[in-house]
Amino acid sequence: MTNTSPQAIQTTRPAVSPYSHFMDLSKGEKILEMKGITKRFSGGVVANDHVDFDIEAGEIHALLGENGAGKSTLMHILSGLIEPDEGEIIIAGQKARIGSPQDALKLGIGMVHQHRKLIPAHSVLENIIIGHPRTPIILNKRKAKKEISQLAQSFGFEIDLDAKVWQLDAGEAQIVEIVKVLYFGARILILDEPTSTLTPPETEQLMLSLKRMVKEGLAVVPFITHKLPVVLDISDRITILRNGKIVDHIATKAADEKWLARKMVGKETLFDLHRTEVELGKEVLKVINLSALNNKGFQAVKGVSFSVREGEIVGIAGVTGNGQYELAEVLMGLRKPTQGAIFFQGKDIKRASIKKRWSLGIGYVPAERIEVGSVADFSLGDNMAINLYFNDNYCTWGILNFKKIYRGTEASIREFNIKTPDHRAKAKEMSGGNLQKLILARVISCRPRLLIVNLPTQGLDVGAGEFVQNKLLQLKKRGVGILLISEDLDETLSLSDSVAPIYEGQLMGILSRAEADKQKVGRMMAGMVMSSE
Amino acid sequence: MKIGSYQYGIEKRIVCTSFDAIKIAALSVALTFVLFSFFFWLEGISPVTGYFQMFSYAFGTSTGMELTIRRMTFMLLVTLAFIFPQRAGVLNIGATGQLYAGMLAAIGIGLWGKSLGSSALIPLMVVGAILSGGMLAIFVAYLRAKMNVNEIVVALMLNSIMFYLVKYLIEGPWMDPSGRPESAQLVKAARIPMIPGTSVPYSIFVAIAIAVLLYLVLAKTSFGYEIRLTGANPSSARYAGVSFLKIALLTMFIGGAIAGIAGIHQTAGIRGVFRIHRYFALYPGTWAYYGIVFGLISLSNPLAAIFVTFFFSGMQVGTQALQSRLGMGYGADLAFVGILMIVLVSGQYFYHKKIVWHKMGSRDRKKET
Repeated sequence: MTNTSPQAIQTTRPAVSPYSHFMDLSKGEKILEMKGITKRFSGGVVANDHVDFDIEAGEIHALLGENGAGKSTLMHILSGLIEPDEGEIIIAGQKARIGSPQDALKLGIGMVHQHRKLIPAHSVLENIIIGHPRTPIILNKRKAKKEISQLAQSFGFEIDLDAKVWQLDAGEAQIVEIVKVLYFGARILILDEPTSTLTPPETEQLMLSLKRMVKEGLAVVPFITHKLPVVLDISDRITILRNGKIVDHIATKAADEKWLARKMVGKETLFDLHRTEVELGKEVLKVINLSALNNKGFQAVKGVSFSVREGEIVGIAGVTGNGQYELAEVLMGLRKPTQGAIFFQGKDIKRASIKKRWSLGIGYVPAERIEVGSVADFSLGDNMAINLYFNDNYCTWGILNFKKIYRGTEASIREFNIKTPDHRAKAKEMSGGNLQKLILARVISCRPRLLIVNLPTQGLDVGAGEFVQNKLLQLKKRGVGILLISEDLDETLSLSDSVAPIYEGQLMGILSRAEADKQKVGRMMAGMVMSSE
Repeated sequence: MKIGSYQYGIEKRIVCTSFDAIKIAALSVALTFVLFSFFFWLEGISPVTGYFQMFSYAFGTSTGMELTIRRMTFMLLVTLAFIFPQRAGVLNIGATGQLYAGMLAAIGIGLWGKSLGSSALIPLMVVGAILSGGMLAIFVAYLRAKMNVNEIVVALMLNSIMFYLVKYLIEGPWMDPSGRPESAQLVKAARIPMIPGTSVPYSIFVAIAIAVLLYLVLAKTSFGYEIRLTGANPSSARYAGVSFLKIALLTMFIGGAIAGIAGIHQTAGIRGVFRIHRYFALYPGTWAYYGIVFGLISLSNPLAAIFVTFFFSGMQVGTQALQSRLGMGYGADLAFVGILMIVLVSGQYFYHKKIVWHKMGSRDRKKET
């Protein structure tokens, strides 16, 4: 496609400093305006419906909305990944056409994605300079290193430029991406769910850095699904999207959490968990001194012991990367333990195959919904068969009863209120919340006695997240033992009967519901204190 | 790009339905006809006459039709040998070697068991071909699944090894007593019977039955589901408890066995002897590579493969009429098939992309492939 507008801003800009037209802007001046942005996708979905949005110099303008509200689409339009069907974008008073992420960067717009786009095997420095327009063919790494460390320091970021990216945790990788777009000359920083993988101290550090950027006249647009307290803490203005339309603009000073949540969801059914106390039954899972390696061959799980009883929810609280994934995989048979024992209903299952564990009554909802939990190109009905194809109720003489599976899928779609035309829709057409509901429905249909759930509500909007949490509580009521792995401390504390904070592969203690308060668990998650036991 | 008042562009195609795929294939074939017209023009032949002769020979005469079906039997079998493991995400590049293994089993058993009746000899040959083709494939699959050795490299090397084994046997111990550079003639009992009144062996029914059976296995059984799951997302398959080793070994064994059956068809079905042709392009092992291309064109659907291989075999046979009827130079058929392959494979670009055009000033979008 060629450029249709000869007055496009690229041609009139001075070539030396790509964002000089921002430099003379003072705080509060509009640097970017989006007017009447409309984007339709195939299948009649209107992701953005005449959306107006603007960004001022020196502000943090949070974009709030549930999954599927159209936040990502709007920001992808701004960063050049999607072209709008209607509407215009005005930057520094001139109409601009953003055809690609490169165009966006030239205009000073940089996006930091939630799914990191860094090269793991390369160093931080190499990742930052790769693709930079001013990088010459022969690299002057020393000069670049000096420039980048100055830049990082000026905003209060601490990064080791020589580290390899695979060695970084999620928070550090995000800082690398932020520094990268700043080094590319971005004046408008778009952050996708910036706090979702951070510990509380890391979140605080990031907020300080963002505030420093804003002082320098940069504009920051975080877009966020939940974590409303964070939004209230850092932003100057808030825009709320629902079903592709702007619901409200508000100055943060005038907003409160309840009001924001109601505007986001459109109804008042929030913070409403139906938790009933259940008599705990026999032990379903007992883990003794379990250890395992991660994919790089390092010790990820270190001598973990705990048990889960019928009707009990045990919450493993911790930031991703502290061994929770490996622990879940070992329990499910996807990873071999290096030592220790696993008992399910009193039987040693250390050597049982994955299929055997499913048939015994262990269910697993993986955190990787798209990569592991579902098959993008399969229909919902075929996705439903993932845990049923070896189940005698659905399979006779090796012939699968797809009719029965599809009927069950339709029933689950209704029961779980999954938004889809029918079971023939492909999994890749589903939003994260609907996909998670489908996976949960599927695992529950295997009638597990022990359910392992990893990050069950991560990235889900408030409504879907609450639905999933209530489903877990319903299962608890039915006497299912649940191992809940979560990064969201509020979730862990509100659902669990006992809480086990995990840090670097070790359980820092096991606290009862009464003992577990947010500060104590938060400190243990950061590895600071051991429980007195 | 702008043409008149329309603006054209290329966009991502999110879903490629089977209707889209058929449309793209049909347009590719049409483009091939246009491109090949150049050769008619060089020879001073009207393209209309040329194509009429091609189609009327391949599908309109009994000789042509018999040749078409014989070629199709072979092509369908080697295509299925590729498709089945492909559905589990395992590449079977080794149909060539497996085909040679099947041929050797057929010739070996056929020459050894001269005195047996056909009711004993033919089943023995079939079992021999299935085991030899299948075991060769399992060797590749085991290295891949257990030690993560690249299956393409191993299969290609084995293809070469098998070819030289065939050459050694045909030009050595199994050579025709008269000294011609071909294998000794198989006895009548070791030949696959022909459909009465034709020169088409019954193996065509076997090939079609296998295609239908594979389709049913993939669509209806839990084994087929495990295969599709492994092919579509190996991590999900592992999560669901599917053993990759089991799936890789079984699908490759079945793929190899089908290639082995193609080996019987090619020896005991058609000629009754095996001759190493002067031209490399005419070795049956070389033809076996077309299975990969047909497999991709059929989008790994065994039923689609029946129609795809029928059409292409017809085209291959039809182009031979250009040599015999219109006096075009030797190789015209290979040139046609070559162009067809290149255009079709390039056309697969449009499985992921589509051309969109819209009138300037209007937002109504219309699609074209």
